[in-house]
Amino acid sequence: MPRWGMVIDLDKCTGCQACVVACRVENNVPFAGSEQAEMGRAIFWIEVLSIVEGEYPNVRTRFIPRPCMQCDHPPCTAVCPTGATYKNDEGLVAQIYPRCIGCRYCTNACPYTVKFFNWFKPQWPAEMRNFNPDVAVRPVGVVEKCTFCHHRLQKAKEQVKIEGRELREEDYVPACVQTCPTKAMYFGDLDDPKSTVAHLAKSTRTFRLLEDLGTEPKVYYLSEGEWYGGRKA
Amino acid sequence: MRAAAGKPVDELLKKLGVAARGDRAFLPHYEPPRFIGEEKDFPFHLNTFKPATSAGSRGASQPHLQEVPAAPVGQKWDSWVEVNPKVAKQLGIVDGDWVWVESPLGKFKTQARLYPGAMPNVVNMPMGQGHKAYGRWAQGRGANPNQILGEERDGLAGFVAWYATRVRLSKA
Repeated sequence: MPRWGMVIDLDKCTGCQACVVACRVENNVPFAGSEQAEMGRAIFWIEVLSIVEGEYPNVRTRFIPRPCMQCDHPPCTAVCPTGATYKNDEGLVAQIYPRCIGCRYCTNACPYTVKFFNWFKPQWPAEMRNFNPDVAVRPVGVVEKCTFCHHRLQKAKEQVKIEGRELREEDYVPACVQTCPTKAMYFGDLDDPKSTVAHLAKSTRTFRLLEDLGTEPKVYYLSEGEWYGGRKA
Repeated sequence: MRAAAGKPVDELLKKLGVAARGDRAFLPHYEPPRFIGEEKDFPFHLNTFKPATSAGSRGASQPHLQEVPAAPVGQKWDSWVEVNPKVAKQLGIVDGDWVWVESPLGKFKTQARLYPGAMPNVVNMPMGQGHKAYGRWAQGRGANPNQILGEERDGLAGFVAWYATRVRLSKA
């Protein structure tokens, strides 16, 4: 079974946020509006963190796109009382929205803060209602997060079955990876030795976020400085 | 040239605010930059920039683009002015304080955000908000720094000097 993972090259990321917008449109994520956003309730399945280091004049700003880490040892699934979030056999941390009771244990347990609660009924003005029909709109009171565009995997599997062939790397690509204008994001099967992500995940520039927590995230980052072999974050 | 370049040319040069006189004005030379506002009254240079999601102010009518946190300070749905943290401390401004940004041409209120990348004598402010029309998401939101920018040109080629305006900050 494939184990889906992502590699993000921080050298190539320009912090343009195209991935953030593409994700929201692909997955029918509502916008919160200014008052709710002020309270920290805006939902971003993928977020570009701007990390500012240092003091003037030695300042450095790093852009780190942060989707759900799709951990191999997820803290969120361990605390869910209803089994609404679980890890499937392709390594994706999936969600069953009707089972979610909105207790938000998973939201609190996630050290990467990638889970978001729907505090209000999602609403869109009439002009913005051309939704993606492949993705369910979540009701108020449930938790949601990045799914690595799982609906695209479903469609790809159906397509290759019709065509009578195996799934290839280019068949299943999440919206963020597809959109990235600098091609900073790579996606694929970490257990396939021929895949790009399996190869990049072993590079000297590779690191993962909060590795010491033992969550085994499947999103790898290549730190800046390809020409000098990178530096550990 | 010397016979023709007499008083009338020098008067024209003076009127244009060019420092050089006579033949020197037509040869490679140094022209000092000109600023609007005296340093003692308006200690900061105002640097305006365009954030990626604002796309030069067109993004203001799009709710998703307004909500995406802007690098590097993470502001959503509003304007801000980036101030160096040491300078802000001297002025008694903390991150998130509302401040008046004033140039010799006018003033407006916006939120100050501390950013170590701001030079001590420069404040950075994004363009793209402060629309007077352009739909429900853009209208009446944030502030437009262009409203207090003055008109100045460089003395060599006559190009518009966008960053010539000096400003001062005060707590609102």
